Amino acid sequence: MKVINELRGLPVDEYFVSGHTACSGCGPAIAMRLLTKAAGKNSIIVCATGCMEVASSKYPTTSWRTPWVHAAFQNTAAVASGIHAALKAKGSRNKVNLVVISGDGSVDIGLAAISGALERGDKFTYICYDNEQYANTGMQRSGLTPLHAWTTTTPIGKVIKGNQRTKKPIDDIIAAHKIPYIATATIGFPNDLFNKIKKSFTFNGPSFIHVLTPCILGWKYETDPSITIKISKLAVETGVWLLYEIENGKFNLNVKPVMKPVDEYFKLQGRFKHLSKKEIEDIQDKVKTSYDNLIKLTSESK
Amino acid sequence: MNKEFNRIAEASAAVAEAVKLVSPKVISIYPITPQTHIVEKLAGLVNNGELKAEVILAESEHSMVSALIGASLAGVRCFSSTASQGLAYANEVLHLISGMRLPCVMAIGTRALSAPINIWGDHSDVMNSRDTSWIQLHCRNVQSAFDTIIQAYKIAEKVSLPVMVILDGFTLTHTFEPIKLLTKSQVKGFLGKFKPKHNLNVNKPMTFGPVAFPEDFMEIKHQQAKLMDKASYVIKDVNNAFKNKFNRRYGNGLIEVFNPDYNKVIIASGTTAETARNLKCTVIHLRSFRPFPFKELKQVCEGREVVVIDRSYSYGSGGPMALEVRNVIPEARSAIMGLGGRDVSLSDLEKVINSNKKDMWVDNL
Repeated sequence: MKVINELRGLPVDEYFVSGHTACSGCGPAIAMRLLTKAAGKNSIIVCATGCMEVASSKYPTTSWRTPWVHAAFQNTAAVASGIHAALKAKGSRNKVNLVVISGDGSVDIGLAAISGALERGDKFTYICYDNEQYANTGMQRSGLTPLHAWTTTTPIGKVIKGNQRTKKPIDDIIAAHKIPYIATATIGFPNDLFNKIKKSFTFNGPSFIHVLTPCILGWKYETDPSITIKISKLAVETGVWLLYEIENGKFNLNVKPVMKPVDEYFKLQGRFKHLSKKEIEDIQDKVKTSYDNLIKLTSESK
Repeated sequence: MNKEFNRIAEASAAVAEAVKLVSPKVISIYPITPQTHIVEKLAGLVNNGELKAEVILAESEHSMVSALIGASLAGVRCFSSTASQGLAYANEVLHLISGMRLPCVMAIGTRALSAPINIWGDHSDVMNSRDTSWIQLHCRNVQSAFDTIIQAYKIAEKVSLPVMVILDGFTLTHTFEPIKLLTKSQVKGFLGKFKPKHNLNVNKPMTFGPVAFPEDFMEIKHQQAKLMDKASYVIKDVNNAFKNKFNRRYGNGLIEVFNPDYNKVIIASGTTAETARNLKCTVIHLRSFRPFPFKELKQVCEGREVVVIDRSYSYGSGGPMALEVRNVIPEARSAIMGLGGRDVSLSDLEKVINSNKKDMWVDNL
């Protein structure tokens, strides 16, 4: 597989095209453009119900230039299993990149379906674009909403302020299935994202790629939608979002975070503006711990 | 054994045998009583090399039927089977399959719905899915189960709607009878090659399952309603074609009329109709519940004394089949029988025919 390290090296071909109704500055839409470039012409996409489905497929229009199917919210992995089985039966499985696209919501409601497909060993790339809330229904909390974040179902009340739970460790849950390839990515590092998706197609089994995608409305920076990429980069630079891979059980850190203070990431987002100094310090400690833990896993698996 | 029969088979095995002859490329399975024998037989056929198919061992019925969407859109024939809670759990996906016009076929071994939990047969599960826009065909004996599976693929592919082939849990799924089989080449000749109308093709990319706003949604659903109307004719045609090829048919495809000369008429689906044939009355086997054969029932029943046997109940309303029949025979009487596997005996059926009550439950005659 050829690794592409420059933005200008990415293919010029577009398979997710303009005309969709995503917000200007939408993080997930950028992810769609990049991931379809990586998957290329010979790909079949299964898309879960959510922002990227609603914004891209208003009958009779479509933004998709590859075969694309949306069925429901929680069953994308199972639909992919059906496609995988049919292509295998027809003898054409290896001619096609099979991609599932879902938001973090589908990782909640569809966890059993994902687990089933991973355990069956079906060959497909599951891409979870994580905007850390149920954005399509209006910014409600999901299992992947981070600690303290405002959402419309975890409002900043007089007694309870924001989300009381930490983000579900979905990558650990997926990793427990011992699938060939797991990676995290984010749109601020487009080449890293592109290369990881390309790489996922080389494995003869399921892959899972978890992509952090800032959401201008849910993360409350709608006054300046131009900072989507900046926020994505800051997530990595602060160590809040670690870019790593688990390839056949081996951990690999892809981008070493410079460990900017987490507040630099938080202060751009209205969803965190209520955080106390103490809460920010606690999160700073948690970020350090999870980074140390990843370094440990990386050296242990070498 | 009479030489015109060539095997004694359990209905579940007959379904598996029919599926083997159809030879779908993908079989998606998840077990639930009383459907288990069907999927176990199929797994055995595949593992013994008698049936070349990819088996998806799903983790739930929801995923099991979701996989049918993928397989069907990828351009192959597929098969699945479930019952009861499994059918209810899969319910939302049933709407997707019909809405996307996918010609999937599924066998249902009917069973009561919880609570209280009960593993035995009645029609609560299939009635609960009557508005999913799946064609629903009932079988009354082992031969009809075998034949209906084969007809179902032809019907589904001609109409572009999915078909449920319905077997009464235990009273049919676990019953052995002598049957006449067909050969693989006979079935192949009858069905022809599967030619999907549209599929997931990288050389001709299409978008499936888009969002339809209010300005389009109704037109799309209206087309779907017309397809179900068309299904009435297709079921009849396929039944006739089957008769011409194999010399077996099921009435006109929608209903079967037995002992036609009596004034008293029992209308029932599945094994209840088969049992009722032993009584001194006319019996109509309501083979097709969806589409519902209003015109045909009216023709046969007008001016006669009709009682409809339902094996399920619409709470706060009545027996679902009786309610539909009353559209054309308003004076039709209704009897609720055989819930949760309660035996539908000849003596109870006799009591029902001779009763003068308009609405009755067999536990309370």
